[in-house]
Amino acid sequence: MSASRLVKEFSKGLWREIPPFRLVLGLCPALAVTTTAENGLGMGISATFVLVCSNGLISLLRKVIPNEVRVACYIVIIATFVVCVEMITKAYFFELSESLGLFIPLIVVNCIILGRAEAFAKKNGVLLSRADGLGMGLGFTLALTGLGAIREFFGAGTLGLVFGEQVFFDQPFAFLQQAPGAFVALGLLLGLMNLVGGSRGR
Amino acid sequence: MKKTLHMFVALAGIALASGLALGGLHQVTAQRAADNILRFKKVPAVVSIYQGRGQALAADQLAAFEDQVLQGRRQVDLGEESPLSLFLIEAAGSSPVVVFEAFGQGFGGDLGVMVGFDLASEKLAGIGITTMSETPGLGTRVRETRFTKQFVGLGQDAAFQVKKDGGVIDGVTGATVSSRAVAQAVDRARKLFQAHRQAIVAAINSGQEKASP
Repeated sequence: MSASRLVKEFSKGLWREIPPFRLVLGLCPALAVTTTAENGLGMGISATFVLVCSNGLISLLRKVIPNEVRVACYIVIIATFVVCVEMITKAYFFELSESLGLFIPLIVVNCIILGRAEAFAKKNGVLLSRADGLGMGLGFTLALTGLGAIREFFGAGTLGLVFGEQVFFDQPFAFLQQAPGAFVALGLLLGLMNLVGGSRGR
Repeated sequence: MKKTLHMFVALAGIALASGLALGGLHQVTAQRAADNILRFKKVPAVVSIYQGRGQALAADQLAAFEDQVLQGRRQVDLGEESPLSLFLIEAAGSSPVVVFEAFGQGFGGDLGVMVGFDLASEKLAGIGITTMSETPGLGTRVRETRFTKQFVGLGQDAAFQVKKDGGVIDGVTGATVSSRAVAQAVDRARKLFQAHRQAIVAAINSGQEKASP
């Protein structure tokens, strides 16, 4: 296992296969919680934590888990880490747990996490799987924070993560705060990424 | 056979390890989480009842008042699983109000409601929603003042049910289960208050004596 392979598996999640855009996985949390940059960041960090832990543990146990019940085992492992996150946010980051609400338990069924377990962790070593999880998680965090920042800045006229209480517009484009606005913002970002990164063909 | 056993052992082992880990973490975080719910959910619900009674509260007084509510709470043991926490609201020019929490069965589990009773008239002084896991945008609308203010001023013998069930409460459109849960919680609180009126009043009075030596 070379260092370049490690870097490659880590970095692919940051741009080439960045989750909600390129893989188009995990859209439910990506659209639902990103009304502010702060919520996007919180959701991203929670998902990253679960992804790194579950990828590592699933990879470690990949020889022990029988093929027939592997999905059940993955779900138990993922659900355990998610409940950990839920308990920790409720005890130490109460405001965040309030604003993310239902979406923390829903990380269990976030397709990215089960997807990485199935597509990567069950075939690769612990270190590689963790690198993959960290890369994918950071990509997801980056995308959610970016999407949240755009929707918050143009939709509500604030950017609480950086500027605190400061209000930039009196009459923001409130459409972006609603669910249809989330789809439009995601579509525009996806289009922009394709424009910059060239066509999707390989 | 061997394969079946392997499947069973692997899944059971993972589930067991998961249970132990979560149990341990729960021990560590439960107290802090309960404190957070008390501070950020229960106390604001009590304060909202106070404000619903027409008492103005400036923004800079809010934190101090919340502290006062938090420090002024009393415990009373009514033979239930855990002792009941009582909150007291006192304002110049109106009779004291005792507030405690009751639960109803909502769409996504227990729905907590702070229910306040005017100690002089025994009428409902107001309610405030604490914890719930209802559907965002639908069930969560029972939190709105438009719904909760209907309970203010109802007497002990009022029918605490939604109109669909023959009661006096207008349910929130599209959230019948959640509206029922709130009515159920208020009804339970009323029954508790009627059954243990003496003990509740005694607990409040004893606390006051202790507070002023």
